[in-house]
Amino acid sequence: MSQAVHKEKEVTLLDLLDRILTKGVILCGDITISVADVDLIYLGLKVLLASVDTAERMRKADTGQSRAF
Amino acid sequence: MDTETLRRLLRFVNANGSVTDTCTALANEAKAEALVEAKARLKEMFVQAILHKVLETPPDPSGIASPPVSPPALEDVTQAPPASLQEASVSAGPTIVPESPAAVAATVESSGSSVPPAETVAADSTAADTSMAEPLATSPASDDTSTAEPDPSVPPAEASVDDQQQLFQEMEAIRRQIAENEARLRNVQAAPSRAEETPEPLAGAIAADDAATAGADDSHPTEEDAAEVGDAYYVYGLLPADIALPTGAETIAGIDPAHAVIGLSYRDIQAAVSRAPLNEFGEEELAERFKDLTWVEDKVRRHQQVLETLMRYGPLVPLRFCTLYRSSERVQTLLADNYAYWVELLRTFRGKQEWGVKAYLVEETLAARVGEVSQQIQQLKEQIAQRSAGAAYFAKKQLEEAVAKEIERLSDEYAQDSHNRLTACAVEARLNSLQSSELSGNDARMLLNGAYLVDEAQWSIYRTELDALEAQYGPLGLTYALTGPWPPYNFIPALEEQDAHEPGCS
Repeated sequence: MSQAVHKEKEVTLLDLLDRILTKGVILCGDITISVADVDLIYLGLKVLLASVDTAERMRKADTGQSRAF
Repeated sequence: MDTETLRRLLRFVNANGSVTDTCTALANEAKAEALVEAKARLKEMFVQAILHKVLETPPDPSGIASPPVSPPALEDVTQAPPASLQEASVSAGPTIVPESPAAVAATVESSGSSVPPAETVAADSTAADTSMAEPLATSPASDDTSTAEPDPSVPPAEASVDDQQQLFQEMEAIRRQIAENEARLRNVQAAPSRAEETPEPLAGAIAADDAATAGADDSHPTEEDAAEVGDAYYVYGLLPADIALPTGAETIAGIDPAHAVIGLSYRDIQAAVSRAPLNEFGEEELAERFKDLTWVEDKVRRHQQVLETLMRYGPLVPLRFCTLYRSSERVQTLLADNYAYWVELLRTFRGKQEWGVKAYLVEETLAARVGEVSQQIQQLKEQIAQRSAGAAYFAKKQLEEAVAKEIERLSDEYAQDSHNRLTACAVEARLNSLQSSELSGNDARMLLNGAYLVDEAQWSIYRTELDALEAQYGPLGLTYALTGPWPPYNFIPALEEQDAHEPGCS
């Protein structure tokens, strides 16, 4: 049987974070992640993606393959 | 029977007196179970304690008038520091103490011991009791009445030599019985009454690099943990205790690659943990690390890798990223608290995995096909064709709006249908909030972000359904992405009275 839907080869960091940071059993360990920490990590991801995105656009613009955004 | 046992016995009693309130507050189902075991052990300790005294202190010819000599251990022990809350919580409902001496007397009686020795026992236990804790002091009186047949006034000194010999034989028999019981108790992993000895019951599968320190655990539990200021225990998840985690060359590398994942067992469950250096995973240190997304990604992936490996062995309850405890005792507390909840979760998750399905919409594709799919749009198009040029302009405007609306409606409908049909093949399903294009890095709009708990037996049905969806909606602009198998992150039911709900624990 051919499978039309393929499993994602590389699980995205976002998928991982969505589960690992906010799901699962959340216990009050001696040391745990705070809400602020979670926000911080998501913010970091946003910044990273934005910078990747920017770099990507600049690269495309340089090679003349830029599409209109 | 050694002084150490006596000391433990006394610690139980002391702890019982000082933290009764806490004990009452902590009484729950899991602890009730623990209590039964603790009681059984306590009874044996009493028997041992009394036997010890009987055998070591030969009957005094001068009778009970002379005060029994306390073994040095007793004085020593009465000054033992109060037991910690933790051991108290497992050792002690207030009910234990009144019961035990009676039980002891009963044991001695049922062994068929003759009268004067029983008397000796009662007298000695009185002495021991008063030196230990108040609640005990009252009980021996009732023992006297329960052993009523003999005249209480008969002093033990009158016991015949035969009687004494018989007694010693019986004592020996009981002693052997106790030794057997103790051996059996040792086999019962993590007997609650031994919480004070901590790491011994915790010593599950110990990886090579942890073997040395784990050995040290056995001798000096608290000191060891206090001394281990450099490390905390990072907990990945919980799994059944009968799963042997790999050791030697096969060990699973932990969040800190230098330390392997080991199991810390409590009764039927174990926590998969590894040591994590506090200079990296301490509270303040972590807050700093979280600013470094490279570090976060590395650790998040390591966390996930450990869980993925553990999943292959059996059911697994995943814990959130970066849940750390300062000692193995604290990990055991985590297991003991809500023990029934953990067991039930593991039972639920047996043979099931979580799968993630995300559906994206390429709007252009659907927009191009919307005329075929939607009758409303078809009608509008026909109307435009029949109208004059002027009227057609407004009709076109109207069409554009209608198309946009139809795309919204249809994509909702497709997403809902996808979710319903996948849910039908799953044990449970959850809808998660959609990831924004900004965060997902995917230009296509996310329509569905579902998590499905799928039984292994139903997996092929589920997979077939997903392919059927792709076949049906793919040409209309939908694409599906499957992730998994995941540990059942999305299917953890809320735990009442859980620490995490306390204010201040975010």
